[in-house]
Amino acid sequence: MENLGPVLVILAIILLILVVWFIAGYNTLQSLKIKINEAESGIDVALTKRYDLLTKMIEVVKGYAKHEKETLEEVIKLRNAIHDVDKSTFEQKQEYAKQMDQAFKTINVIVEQYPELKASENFKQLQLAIIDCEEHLQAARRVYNANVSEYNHKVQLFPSNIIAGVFKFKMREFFESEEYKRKDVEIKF
Amino acid sequence: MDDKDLQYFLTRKKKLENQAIFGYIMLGISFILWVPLGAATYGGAVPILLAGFIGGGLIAGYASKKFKDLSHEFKSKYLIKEIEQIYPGCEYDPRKGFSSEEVYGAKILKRQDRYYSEDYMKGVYEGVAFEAADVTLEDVRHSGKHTHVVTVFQGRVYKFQFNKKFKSNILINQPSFFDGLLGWKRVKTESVEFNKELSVFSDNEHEAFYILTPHFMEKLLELDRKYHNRITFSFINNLLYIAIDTRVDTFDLKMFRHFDESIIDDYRKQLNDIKDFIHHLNLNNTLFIEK
Repeated sequence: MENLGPVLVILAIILLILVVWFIAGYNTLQSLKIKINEAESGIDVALTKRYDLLTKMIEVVKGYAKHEKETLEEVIKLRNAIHDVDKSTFEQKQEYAKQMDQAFKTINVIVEQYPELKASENFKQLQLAIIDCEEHLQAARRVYNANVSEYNHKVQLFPSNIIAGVFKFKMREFFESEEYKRKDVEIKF
Repeated sequence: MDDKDLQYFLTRKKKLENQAIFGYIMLGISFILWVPLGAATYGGAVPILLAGFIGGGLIAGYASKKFKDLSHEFKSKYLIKEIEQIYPGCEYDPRKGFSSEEVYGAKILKRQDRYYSEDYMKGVYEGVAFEAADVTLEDVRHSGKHTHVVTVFQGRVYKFQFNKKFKSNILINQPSFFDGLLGWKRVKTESVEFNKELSVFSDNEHEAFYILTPHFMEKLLELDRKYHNRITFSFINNLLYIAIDTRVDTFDLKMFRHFDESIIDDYRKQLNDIKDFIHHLNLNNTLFIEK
């Protein structure tokens, strides 16, 4: 019995190290999860701003391009399908981003046919705001994806995957970006 | 600078160099003779040798001071013309520099015991406001009775108006063990190569990514390689600061160094750095600036 003393001490130390490692690992995963959620709210902010700019852009284009009723209706339809970004699911947000891309592309086609619209001060201001908003959206996407990448590595790789498995941390999805958006913004009106 | 101007400077430069050589020779001879003569004659030659020391020192010191004045004269009379040609309307003052508060406030360089700044330039190029100056930082180190001064930084600091609006602070420097002392968070970009060669610190991750687009990161990496890992960038108050530890006093005339048109060409190259930064980093791009 007397010889068991040192063994018990070693076991206690090993147990303590394991507990500390478990707590540290859990906290790392948890803080990465928080960072991902914060980054997601950054995407929400950028998407909401982009939605507002799309609405303003439609109003400006409407005034000039009265003969483009059908095309504009298509854009309005795309915009109207977007509801409350904050409360939407992640998949819906990705879908909204794609719809807005499509709406802006359609507007670009209209704008090309109306030089006086292109030259208007209102339009130029909106154009600048949109470019800046696109850069912010890209930044938010990159922050989100960088955090997701780090988190997914932890969830998948040994030994942190043990903690992830115990506490049911699941892999997170990346925010997809269209190929052209991976490069720097180059919007041409 | 025409041939007549060049000749005028060369003559004065040569005269001062000769004076300095004469002073140094006096110092050297007095030093060499100090032990054999000073000891052998029981101190009889000491006053003469002392006079040699003091006289030689004074002559060398005087020549050196006059040479510095000549250097300033060269800068204010002739260098300014070169600057005007490249950056019309640019203000240049060889004796003025950035204030230490500004440079330390930009976090681009760490505070040291001694701070010097000169060769200040301020102007606008292709719509981008810029300022630049030489900065030297020295650390005074004491070990026992000895004190020695180490030059920690010697080079040029540039300040540019940045073309994107941001509220946070971002510092990009060479990876170092003491990085964490700044108190800002380390930001890891998605580029493994960039993270390996440069460290990014910011108090706002989103804005760091907003400024550091993939294309812009590539450009920063190119500059880092061009200046052999001696460059630091700081984004603060909608301004971009760049510090390059060149170990060179940019526009100073050097004593005993052959002076010809190639040195003027060298100055022109250094002056063109401002232009190159503006073009390389697309600072003249007005995409994000409301008119």
